[in-house]
Amino acid sequence: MIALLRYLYLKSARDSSLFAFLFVPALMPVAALSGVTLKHGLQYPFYMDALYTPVQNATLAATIAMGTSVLFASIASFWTLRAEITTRSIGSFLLAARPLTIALALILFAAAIGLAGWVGAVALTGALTTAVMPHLALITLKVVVALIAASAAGALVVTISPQPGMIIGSYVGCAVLIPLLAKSTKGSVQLLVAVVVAIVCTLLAAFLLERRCAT
Amino acid sequence: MTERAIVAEGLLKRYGRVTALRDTSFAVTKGTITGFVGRNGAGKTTTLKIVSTLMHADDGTCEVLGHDVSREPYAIRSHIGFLPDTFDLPATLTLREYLGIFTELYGISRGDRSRRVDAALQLTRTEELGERRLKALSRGEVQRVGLARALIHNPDILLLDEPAAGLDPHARVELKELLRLLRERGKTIFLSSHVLADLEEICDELVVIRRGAVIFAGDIAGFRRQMRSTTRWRLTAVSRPIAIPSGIRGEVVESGPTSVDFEGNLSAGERARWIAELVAKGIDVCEVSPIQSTLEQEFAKAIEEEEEEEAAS
Repeated sequence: MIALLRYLYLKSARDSSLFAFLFVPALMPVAALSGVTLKHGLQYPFYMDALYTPVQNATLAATIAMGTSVLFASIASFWTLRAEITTRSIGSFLLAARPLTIALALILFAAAIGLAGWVGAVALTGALTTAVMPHLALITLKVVVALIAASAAGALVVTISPQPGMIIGSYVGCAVLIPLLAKSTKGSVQLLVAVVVAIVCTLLAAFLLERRCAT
Repeated sequence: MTERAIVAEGLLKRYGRVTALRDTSFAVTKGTITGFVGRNGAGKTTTLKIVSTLMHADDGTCEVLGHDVSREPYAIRSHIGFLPDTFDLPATLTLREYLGIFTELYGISRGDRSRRVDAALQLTRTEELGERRLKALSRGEVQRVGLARALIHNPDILLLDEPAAGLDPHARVELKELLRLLRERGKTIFLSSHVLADLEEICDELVVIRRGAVIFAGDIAGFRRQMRSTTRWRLTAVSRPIAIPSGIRGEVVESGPTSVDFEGNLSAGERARWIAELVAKGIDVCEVSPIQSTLEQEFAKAIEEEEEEEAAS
């Protein structure tokens, strides 16, 4: 597992995709905040709506960050091993590691990128709005579960077909997950659904990963 | 009794309506180099994928070191090194990083990893490429990197799909030397190749496949016997044309002003009689030499015969 995570890290860091996946979740809300604020001249704290309190602005910015980090975790999962799956080079990894280990490594790697992006985004938007969204710990827990589910969905999509157009599948998966996250209520059923989605997608991705070499 | 490293029986594989393998059976003896020969699309890659456990046959069985490829793939995978016909390398990693990751994946102890990487680099003569990014490698170098990866965990069996593809003549000689060295170390090597001259030099056994069916499995001498190989003889005179005496079985395949190529299984007695007759006629024979047909010619003949039989039926 560690070797696979190292491989994914080296590969994505060297081709710079890692930095895109890491920074976009933070850049999106920061761009929205700075865009609206600078339109009315340089002010601090930054805001998206002048009538909102800093906490409301932070909540709005964090919601954008939440959606973006979940979406980009899914895309990272789809993208990082795409070349190996397309060229069947994944076969050499399958001879050295179990397919479930490879799928789990991919999902953990993408979810970790998403989490780092989310943390960075909350920190940046917090600094710009001088506030943090309420129930941050609970929301972060939901984000973590959603990141894992979205990454698992991305892994499943790439094992179904690594064609670039299939990335739409990741968007669709996230389009279902993100509204669930946006509610700040406890939502234990939503979390349970996300966990089930993550488990099913992981198992299917591991199964299909091996099948990809068999064609 | 010779031990078998790979035993395939009645393998069947279909891709939709296309039958890639039909009743494919063969065995590979431990500690040998076995060549796998067939035209493009004959089923070589499919067979190698099945043996490597990466693909399941629709029917039939295949055992590697006594383990069934379908039921116990994980028991087999650590014992095989597989070089596929086509593969891609992560362009931005260095060769050392890439091989290092595989030492970890194969569970090689931390203290041993660097030594294993060095050994694989040395065996495949890629030491100087160790710190180079993989995107900067030539086709032949990529092939050698694939071989280094297949060797990194010191497997008992090597499955090589067209290992000589993209290699220059010098690298091909090095590859042959490497394969011989690996055989000396007790490895079993099963390799497909279109370069039959190379196979003839290094292989102990041969599996010939045509349209998904094995038409021969055994040693090269056996293949020649099955093809009812006849030896071609070249008789060269000093200055005058050579006449063929009566009663000699065989046929002239080529004749020049002072030489003749004659195909037939001439016994030593027949050769002596022929030479004596020519000398009696005043023709000074200066050379009688056998010209063995190449494996390539035998292979072409085998395929031709199979096709003729098929057309007739």
